Order: sequence, then structure tokens, then C-alpha cells
Amino acid sequence: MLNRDQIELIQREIDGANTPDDSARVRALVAADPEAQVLAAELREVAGAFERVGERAPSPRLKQAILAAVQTPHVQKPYTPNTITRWLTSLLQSTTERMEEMVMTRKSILIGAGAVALVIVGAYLVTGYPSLGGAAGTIGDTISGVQPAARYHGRALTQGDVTLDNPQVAALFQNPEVLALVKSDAFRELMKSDAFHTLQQNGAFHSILATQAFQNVMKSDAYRDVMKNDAYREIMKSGTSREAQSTQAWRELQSNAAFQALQANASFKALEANQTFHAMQSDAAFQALMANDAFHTVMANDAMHVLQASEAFHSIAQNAQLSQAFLTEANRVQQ
Amino acid sequence: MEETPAALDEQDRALVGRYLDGHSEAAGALVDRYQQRLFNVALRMLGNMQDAEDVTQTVFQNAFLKLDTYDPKYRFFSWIYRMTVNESLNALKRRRPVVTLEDEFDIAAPGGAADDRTEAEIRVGKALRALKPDDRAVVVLKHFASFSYEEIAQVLEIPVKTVKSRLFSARERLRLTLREHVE
Repeated sequence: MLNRDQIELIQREIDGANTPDDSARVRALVAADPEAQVLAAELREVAGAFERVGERAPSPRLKQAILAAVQTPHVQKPYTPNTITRWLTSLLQSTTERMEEMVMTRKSILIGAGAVALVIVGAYLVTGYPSLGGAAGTIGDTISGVQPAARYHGRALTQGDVTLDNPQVAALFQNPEVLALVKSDAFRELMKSDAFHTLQQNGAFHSILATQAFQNVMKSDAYRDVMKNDAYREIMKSGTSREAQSTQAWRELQSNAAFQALQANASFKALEANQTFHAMQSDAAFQALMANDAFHTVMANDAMHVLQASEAFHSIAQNAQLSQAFLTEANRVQQ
Repeated sequence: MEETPAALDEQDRALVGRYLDGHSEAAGALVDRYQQRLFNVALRMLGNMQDAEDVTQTVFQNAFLKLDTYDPKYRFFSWIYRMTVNESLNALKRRRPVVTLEDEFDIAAPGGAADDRTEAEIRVGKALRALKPDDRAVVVLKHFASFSYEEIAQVLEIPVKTVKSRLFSARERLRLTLREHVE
């Protein structure tokens, strides 16, 4: 029976860690003891199995992805440059080919999903509560004194929904910034756009909005704080053509405590991991909305950020009737 | 001519210094030096190509972010390998509840299917999977990174004695597993 020292001696021999004297002792032991001989042979077989496997080469895209993420020396810009910046830019541009080029690895996609979640949240706040199973029509058809205007897909509206009788809606429209927003050409364009309407009819979009994870994100303090964050506003303002500005803003956002808290939020992570959410990202209607200039203009509007951060608008956006009332009132004041 | 470990350490320090001085091309050189080695450590720890790439990318991102905290009196390789092992262990913890054993060692060839795996890889994958993650780290650093006991101790920040204890007991278990496989 081999003792502990003898076993260690043989183990060290396998690793080439013995002195010449120790190696000589191993040879003598193996020659004299069948058990030592079997142990040495089997340990060599274990080590040999590892040697036979050899190295794998990573994907050639890995280096590109790493360098894209660390493209600027830390000393000059004390934030972690991240593929999320490029990914977001490509998302906003909604150019599939560009996205594929930038999204080098699944890691990038997962990080980028955080950005998409924010954009979805933005889309949600613009489009309001999903009109599940509702009818499509022209608002002007059902409201006296209002000319036919943008199509809105939802349940049939009543006069009570769409007038300023509703105190929550009325309160919002007393805000001059909100009024200016909904009267703006961009808001008008957005409400008329096919992307806006298609997204509202989109099953994946509705599924995402119905998830508890999404609802939890919406209710989180971190999300509210991000909505109020200047860097976030800067990103939404930067649109598609000012990549450098967007990059800088993203770096600032990434270093923002609220944004980090949001990304660490369990519900936010659950949202990122949601399969429907992933399907949503590649959905044509969603991509169309992301490519829509009017959408970006509205999202970049300061008043939109006031709205997003406000309790009143948040309540309205979570309520189907109030959401429709808001949009309908917005449609009315545009006339 | 093969370069000595001391010369390699000095090159690492020089590249780190250049990067911190604002020479962005130094990042590429550091990635070239370590990318494949770190990827292979992560691959053997995790058993999955995609996860290993994710870990490698994360490690580099974190490394460049924290590079100004790196103390040049220590060896750069110890620092970045430690990050790789730790990130791999974290990845294992994160996925444990949802990943099946079959998934865990799905080491496919680059651009190929799982069927492209060699028999040796499948056997080694199963053997590694049978080890506890801490023991697996020691085996991987020994047999896939070819580190000495002392280097493994530096990377994992554990005593050399513990390295040997973990390595020898893990290899003993692998030996018995291998014997069962043959029988």
C-alpha cells in the first residue's frame, strides 16, 4: 500500500515538478511496486488526455468585439467604453446589417438588450397602454367637432374618455410643455405613422407589456430616476446622426448610479431574459418604430421627459382608458 | 528564441503603461497576447464556446476599466487569469439552475456543430464536469495553461499546499473515473 508521500512523489513526477533525485526515487518505486506502477501509468493517462485535447481558437470576431468595447484608453475617458454605445446607435438607425456588424457576441446582445428595454419603455410611454383586442377607427368619426385625423386603434371611444372632464388628463394638458409637445409636428407625425399603429397591434409588444417584469421595471425608482437623467435625455435627443454625442452620453449614462441600479434590477434582468422580449427586438414593426424620425423627435423632446418622469402620465399610461383619452385629447388639441 | 517569464512580464508591464499613457494600440497587443489563453481557460471551466467568449470579453472589459488599479509590482498574467477564473466561476453560479449537464459541456468546434467535438474533448469535458469548480480551476490552470504550482497559487490566491492538495485529489478522482470508463 502506497503511503501519502509516495503518492505525492508520483503526482509531482507527472507535473515535472520533481528534482532529479526525486525522479530517481519515483523510478525505483515504480520498478519495485506494482501498485506504484499502475498509479503512475494511470495518472500519465489522465495528463495525456488533457494534452490530446489541445487549444481552441475563439471566434475571430471576439477580438473586434473586445476592442470595440475598449477602444479608448481608460486614462483619457474614465468610463468603460462599451459595445452598448455602438449597439444603441445601430439600433436607432435600425439598420440590420449594421447591427450584425456591431453585435459581435452574445454578450454584446445581452448588454444591448438593456438599451432596447429602455427604448421599449419609451415606446410604451408614447403609445400608451396596449389596446388589447380593440377596434381600429378614425378618432374624428366619433368625436363631435373634431375632423377625421390620425387613426387610432383601440376600443370604441366615448365622449367621457376624450374630453378634459378627466382630471388626470386635464392636469397634464394644463402643462404648457405637454401642450406644446402634443401640438408639435413630430407628435402629430408619430401618431399618424404606420409604425406607431403597427406596433400597437403587435402581439409581441403586447406580450412584453403584459409581463410582470415589465410592470415591475416601470414601477421601479431606478427607472424613474433614469427617465429624469440628463444623459438619458441627451441620448434620446442625439438621434441617428450624432454618434459621438450619443457615445459620450451613453458613457455618462452608464456611470450613472440610477442606470446601474436599473440594470441590476431583478425585474429588468428578467425582462432582458424574456424570450418574447428577444422576439420583439427583431420584430419588423418595432424596428420600423425605432427607425421612425418622428418617434425620435418626440422621445428627444424635453416635454416628453417631463411626461415620462411624471406620476400622472405614468398612471395614465398604465390605464387603457386614460391612455386612449390622453392620445385622443392630444389628437384634438392638434386640430 | 523563447522568451523568459521575466521578459514576458516586462512586456506586459510596458503594454499596460502605454495603454494608461493613452496609446490605444496597446490594448490590441494585450488582447493578442492573452485572448486565446484566457478563452481556453474559460472554455475548459465552462465547457461552452459562447459562454467562454462572453467571459473573455467581460474579463478584458473589466481589466481595461480597472487597469489603473493594477499594481505593476505584481505579475499581469496572475491578475488577468484570476479575473478569468473568477468570472468563469461566477458564470457557473449564474447558470447552474437552468443549464443541464448535457448543455454544460457543449464544446463545439469553431463554426461547427457539437458533432465536431473530438472523442477526447467529450471525455475530458465529462471528467472536468465531475469536479467541483474550485478543483476544476486548479486542473485547468495546470493542464491547459501549463502553470506551475506557484503560479496557480498566485492566480488563485491560495497557498501552494492547497494547490497541490486540490490538484492531486482531483486527478485521483479523474484517474478512477478514467478507469471506470475503460472497464
